[in-house]
Amino acid sequence: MRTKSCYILFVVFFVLFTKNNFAQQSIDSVQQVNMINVFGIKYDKIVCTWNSILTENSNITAFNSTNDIGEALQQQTAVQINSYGLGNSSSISIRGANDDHTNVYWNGLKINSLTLGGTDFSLIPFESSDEINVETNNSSFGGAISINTRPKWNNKFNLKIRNDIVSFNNYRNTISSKIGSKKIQFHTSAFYQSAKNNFTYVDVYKFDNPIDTANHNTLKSVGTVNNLFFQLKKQVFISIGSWFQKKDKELPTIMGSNEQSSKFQKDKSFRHYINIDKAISKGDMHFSIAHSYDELNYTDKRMPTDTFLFINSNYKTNRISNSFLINNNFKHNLSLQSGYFYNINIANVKEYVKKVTDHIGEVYSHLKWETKQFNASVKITQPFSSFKYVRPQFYTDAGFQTKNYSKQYAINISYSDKYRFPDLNDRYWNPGGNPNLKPEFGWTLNVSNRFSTQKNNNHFFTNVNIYYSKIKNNIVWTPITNVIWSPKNLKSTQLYGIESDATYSYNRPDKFYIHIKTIYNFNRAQIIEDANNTDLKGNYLRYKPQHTFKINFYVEQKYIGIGANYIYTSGKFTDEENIIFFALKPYHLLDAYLTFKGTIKEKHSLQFIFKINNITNTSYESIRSFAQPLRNYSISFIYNFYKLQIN
Amino acid sequence: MKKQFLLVAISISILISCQKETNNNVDNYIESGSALVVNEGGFTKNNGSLSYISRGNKVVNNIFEQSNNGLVVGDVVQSYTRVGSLGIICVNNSQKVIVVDARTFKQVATITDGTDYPRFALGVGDEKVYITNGSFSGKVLVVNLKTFAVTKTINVGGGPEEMLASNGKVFVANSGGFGSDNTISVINSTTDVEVSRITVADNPTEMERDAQGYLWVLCKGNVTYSPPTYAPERQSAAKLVRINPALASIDREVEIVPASSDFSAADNLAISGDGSKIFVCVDDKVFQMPITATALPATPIITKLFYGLDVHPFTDEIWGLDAGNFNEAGKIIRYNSSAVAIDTFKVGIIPNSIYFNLQ
Repeated sequence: MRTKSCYILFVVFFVLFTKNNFAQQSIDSVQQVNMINVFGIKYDKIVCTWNSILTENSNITAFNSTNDIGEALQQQTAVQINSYGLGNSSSISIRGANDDHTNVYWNGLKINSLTLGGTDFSLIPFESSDEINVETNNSSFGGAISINTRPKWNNKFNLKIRNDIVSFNNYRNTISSKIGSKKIQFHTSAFYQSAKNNFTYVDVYKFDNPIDTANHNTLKSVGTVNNLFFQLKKQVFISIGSWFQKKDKELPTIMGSNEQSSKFQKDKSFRHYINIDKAISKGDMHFSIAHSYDELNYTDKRMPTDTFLFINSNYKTNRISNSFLINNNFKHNLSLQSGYFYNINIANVKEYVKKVTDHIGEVYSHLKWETKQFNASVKITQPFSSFKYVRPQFYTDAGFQTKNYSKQYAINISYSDKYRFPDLNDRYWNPGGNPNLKPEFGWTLNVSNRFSTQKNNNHFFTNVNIYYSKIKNNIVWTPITNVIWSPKNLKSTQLYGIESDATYSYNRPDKFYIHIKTIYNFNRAQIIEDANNTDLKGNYLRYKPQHTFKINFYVEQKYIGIGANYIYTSGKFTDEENIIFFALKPYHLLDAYLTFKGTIKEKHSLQFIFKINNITNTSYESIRSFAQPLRNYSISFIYNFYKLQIN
Repeated sequence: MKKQFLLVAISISILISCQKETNNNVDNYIESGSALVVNEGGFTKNNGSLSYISRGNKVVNNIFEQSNNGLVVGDVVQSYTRVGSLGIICVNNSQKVIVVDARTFKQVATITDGTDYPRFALGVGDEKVYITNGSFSGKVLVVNLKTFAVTKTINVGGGPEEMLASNGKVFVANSGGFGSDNTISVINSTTDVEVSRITVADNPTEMERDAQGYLWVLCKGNVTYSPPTYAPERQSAAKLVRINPALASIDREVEIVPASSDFSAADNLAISGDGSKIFVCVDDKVFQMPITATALPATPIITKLFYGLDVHPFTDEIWGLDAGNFNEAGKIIRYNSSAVAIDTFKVGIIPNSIYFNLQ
């Protein structure tokens, strides 16, 4: 590196533009059904995708085996999580798209970073969700993750205390309470986590691959999530929520280096929303208003002995969001959904020189026709922004399903236009930001197949999805002088593949439960064109494994359960030249856990989970150069007191 | 059985066809006139590498990995220097110096003692090598090439970079590193003692010796990068400074970037094989200047942004190192001595410099 200027450029790039470093894998397309079945447990009322993860279920202890949303998504769904190591940033990728191609919502509020576009899943507290949905049929290339809270109207009082003790001095304590009536419910939770994360790892970048210990890797995180739900007369439902989190993190040095790191990252988030739903004569309407505040502070002293900060970056961003939706079932099989969302994005980033205010939104109309066997829909969306005009976006799908509900086959074909506005860093970073960037745009064609069968307490379902996406105008940062980089629309890429899963479950409540799920994904993410380098045509994008295979297994007999999660990830190129020496090797990860549950008195229950992570002691990398822990252990104690409403 | 064999054969052929890089070893990496290209790799990505280009223009990438069972060089490979039968690789962000057998490129030793910011190496005799180190306060590590131990540390100016040996002395460019400096340290290479410092212009970084024995120093000028924007703010001009090594004094100064040009940068000093012409880059322009000139010519010989530049000592071909978008493999564009492009070589990620094997 050519001394100071390069170091600053590289550090700033590393910190602020790491989203360019990876992207990867794949998931399913949306299958909106009025009743979902996840792990053999039925839920009605909500409309969501078949590959939802329910984070809260008091009956099945396996659902409590993780308290990390990223880990839960990685194990239970087809998405790919890339992590900078235990406790550090992690990002999501769906169907080979970048993390900034996946929208992440909390109760309808988009929580993607305004400056980077992506979402750090290590900053999403487990307590923020009662349910997580993954869907792909929306306007973003990488689909959407919806993290939602929802009330249980039959709850009177619930107190839950959870204590997790994990290897490497990692402690997490959570207390949550739910109190209410059939008309009003209040949920509150608070958590505190501290970790040294001084795990050992095999340093594959050093001669003879010595065992090293991660240093400068401590973490402290505190937060609270609160929700208030009302059911008013005239079928009005109101929910109000807030989320506060603060995380202070030391950043470790990379593998192979003898550096003493002195880098720190501090994140703070404050989010709140009001959602109002009202039933109308032939449908329903929804109104929401929300606000999100995010703060990031990155510092680097270069050397621990230095007395001043060499890099001190500070981001403060606000997003004000408003949406409205009206759903009108104006004929028996025909409905029209119309609405808008409008976001005001405000960034107070020193590197932008001035405060930036951005307006982005969409107006849409979605016509749906649905019979017992056939369905079709057409959606037109007009995006608007204070930045650039984007032509109307078109979506259509058509499907068929057999009538027999106990043994059902369904197929759905969809086409959707996709687009993404450049991030604020792309446009306003000074020097180099390019206000003339075009939005990325493209399209996706998807075919979904689903088969399910149910008999007595046995349930089996399988999904196979085939997709092809094309993205044009990909934004790439390139140097324009020795000291200035600037983003340009340089690339076209294609993402295609097959996702498949099969799930079998057998459930006799409170007696016996077994669940086996397998997921296999094949994904190819390739460069079609690079205006700067024609040699890259046909090469694979970075951090996109072509094959992933996952197995989730859990069996529980009354009080005792045993489970395992297995993930195979094929090799990943870490550069677009696809240099084999720098590719990450394929790896297998196996976690196993034992669960015990019991009742002390009526309404008082205890759960105990002992988990061994990475049981085979595999040395692996999710992101090049960043160490991952070898075998490690966790113990979780969960106390639950509940009192239900008397009918 | 035949069918199974066929399936296995097909599988192997598919696997082989998936390999993007082939093991393309050559007999040795010390052929006279051949080039070793230092590809520093992406910051924190541990994908630095070295490429070899034979006199016959055969390119072999990732030679360290190929010779060491896939072990990678490290993060931000800064420089390569040959000292006798050994090669010295300074790996900046991995904070280590790797010693290899220059012929086979097999690792011989790793030096981590005091190498928190290694930059360049210079052989001083057959048994001793100097390594510049330090991003602020600088030092020169004296390493015994028999034991690979650091036998002495010589304190020099801030952020020491390139070194040149002349008249029994070693001249060290004290660039200031992340701070500021404007001196050349002069070290007695017999006693390993700094004997004097020559004040030149701000940020001396690269050095070449011309046909008349003078040392040319590229002083990039002091440029600060203050938060919040970290945009460059030039505090002083970039200059070429000529030193008379015998007198340890400045002989001539040529301003190449005025102090008022915040966004201009000077980089990449090189010299022709016979030492009669200086080459230097200012932004995306490559200038060629006879050593007798007192000012930079008005017209560049090449207009292209290069991350590194060198001149082949035998042929006077100009080798421009193009780092592309700093994520992909870079390339070397080879020009003849009249600055007409001849061909290109695809090398590793972010090529920054070339070491030509002279013998």
